[in-house]
Amino acid sequence: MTVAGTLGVGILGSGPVTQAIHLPALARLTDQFTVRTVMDANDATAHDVAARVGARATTSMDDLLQDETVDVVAVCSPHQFHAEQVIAACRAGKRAVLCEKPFATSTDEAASIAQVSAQTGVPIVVGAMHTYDPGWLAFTQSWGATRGSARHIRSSAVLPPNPRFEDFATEVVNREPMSTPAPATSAADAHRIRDGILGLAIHDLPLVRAFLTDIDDIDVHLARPLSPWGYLVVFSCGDQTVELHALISANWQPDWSLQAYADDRVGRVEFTPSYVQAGSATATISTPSQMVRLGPVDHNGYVGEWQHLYDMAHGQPPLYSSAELIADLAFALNLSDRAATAVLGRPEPVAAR
Amino acid sequence: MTILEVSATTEARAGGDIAPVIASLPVSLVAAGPDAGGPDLVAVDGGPGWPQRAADRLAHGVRGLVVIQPVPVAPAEVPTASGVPVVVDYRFAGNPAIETAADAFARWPADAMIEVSVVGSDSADLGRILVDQLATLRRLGQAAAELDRLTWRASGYYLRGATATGSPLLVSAHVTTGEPSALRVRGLAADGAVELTVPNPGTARPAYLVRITRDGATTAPSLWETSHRAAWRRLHAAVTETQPTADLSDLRKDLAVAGRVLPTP
Repeated sequence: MTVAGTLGVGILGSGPVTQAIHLPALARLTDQFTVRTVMDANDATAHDVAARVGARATTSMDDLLQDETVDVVAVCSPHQFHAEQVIAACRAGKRAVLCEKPFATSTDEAASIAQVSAQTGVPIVVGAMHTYDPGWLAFTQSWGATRGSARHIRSSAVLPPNPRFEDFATEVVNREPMSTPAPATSAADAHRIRDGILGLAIHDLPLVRAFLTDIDDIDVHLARPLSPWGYLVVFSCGDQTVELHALISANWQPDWSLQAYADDRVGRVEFTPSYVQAGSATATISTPSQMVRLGPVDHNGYVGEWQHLYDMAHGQPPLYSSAELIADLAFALNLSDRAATAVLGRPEPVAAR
Repeated sequence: MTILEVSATTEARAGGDIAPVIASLPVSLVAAGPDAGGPDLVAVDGGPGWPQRAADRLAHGVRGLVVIQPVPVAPAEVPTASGVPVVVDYRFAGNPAIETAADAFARWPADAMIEVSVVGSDSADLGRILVDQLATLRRLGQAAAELDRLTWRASGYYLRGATATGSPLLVSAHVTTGEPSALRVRGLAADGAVELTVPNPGTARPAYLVRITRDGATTAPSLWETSHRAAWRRLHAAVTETQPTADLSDLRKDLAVAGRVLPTP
């Protein structure tokens, strides 16, 4: 069903993220968006997913970008295609582009995207959903300036495998089988750490970076994979220390949270899992005399990023500038490099055993 | 029930909440009067110099001794009890929920991570906090066999380690007045988890223990008893039932591990 005055959406890449995250989010925003064209390299997947929303299917990016009913483009393809597709969408004169994270694989690519976005005037939203989560936004408003405000920052993502949530959100077609972990070697461990940071930690690294003052001064103290899939990374930036851990296992109970420890207050943001449309994060800020609770509200960061895309397509300023998006990416890439190097080098810590 | 007389210095009374403990165990304990002879049980504060204070009291023939929140010392300084029951009153490790939590950590997989974090309000207490964390791990059956320092600042510390069976440990302390002091343990296994939150013993607020398995989550019954009271109950039983205590020998082992990561004074 098409609603008059809605923005037409074209989606590049129709895997589980499109099926179980973006289409359910857009189903909550039918007064703002209508999905017009769905592209996937796999013709059957493109047709199956397009049929769910009454959209046209294609296997061609150019075909989608030439579609005049497509006003905004969502780039949900594998990471290596993001930069090329975002730039193409900008040059095609679309009104706005949503790109799944990471929006590039290098800072040079990111800078190119930012340049084309500025030249064409096409705004870009990076799909780091936690940065658009109403719980996080309420937290930052109540906490005040985050930069340098906490000494210790802890980010933890304990999650079941994605299919558990995908299957609550939709009926996924053409799901790729889970890959078998490579034997544990230093090189394989380094690869796991890099994948973990750029695949999962990246959801929260913009939030972590918001607290840090010396992001170029990353000192990785500990980086190790966790079994069956996960990571434990501890690093400092100046006198601030960050712990990142994630574990994806058969544990059914999710725990996805961010904590910030300041001298006289503690902040906690507890996120809902991806996929399941379980509303926003809940945040608390504790001080010696009280604890303030913020949220939850009924929509999550995915709906939030689409709402923001709608506003930007109608001339509203971006919540995060291109410079901020590039800095987020540079931080994630730098951290992943240093953590992977730490695994390969196995540096001894400060104290002797 | 045998009632035992208790004596404590001013510092020990404050640090161990001894008056409220005696009030909550009136059939077992009574405060020694000013004219009393040798008390049965004595509490010594665990501040600097505690090994000498403890040794002095043990040499004077007490029937039982409590050491309250000891600061780290060299293992060799820890006195020998010579058959006298000695209990260490830790803020967190003495919580009665630890015993139940130890069951949840039985047969813990070697590749499953354990986190132990403490929120404290005073950076001067970091050494005590570390000793308490190590005692907690030991009482959970997951004593630290290795420990390395990652960071140690006035804002807290991060340490990495491993248990004797190889489980990775992340031990941290966070100095803030933003929330009440508490210890948190989280074990993350491939098919389940254990979460334990132990509040500070200033109140009898119960610890929170939940065990997550494939079948669901089970919360342990609340135990409305502070670690202080649990310590004195244990000492009373050890004295009257002639049960040995291993607190000092365990403390020596934990101090040997702590000594690898404590900053040089």
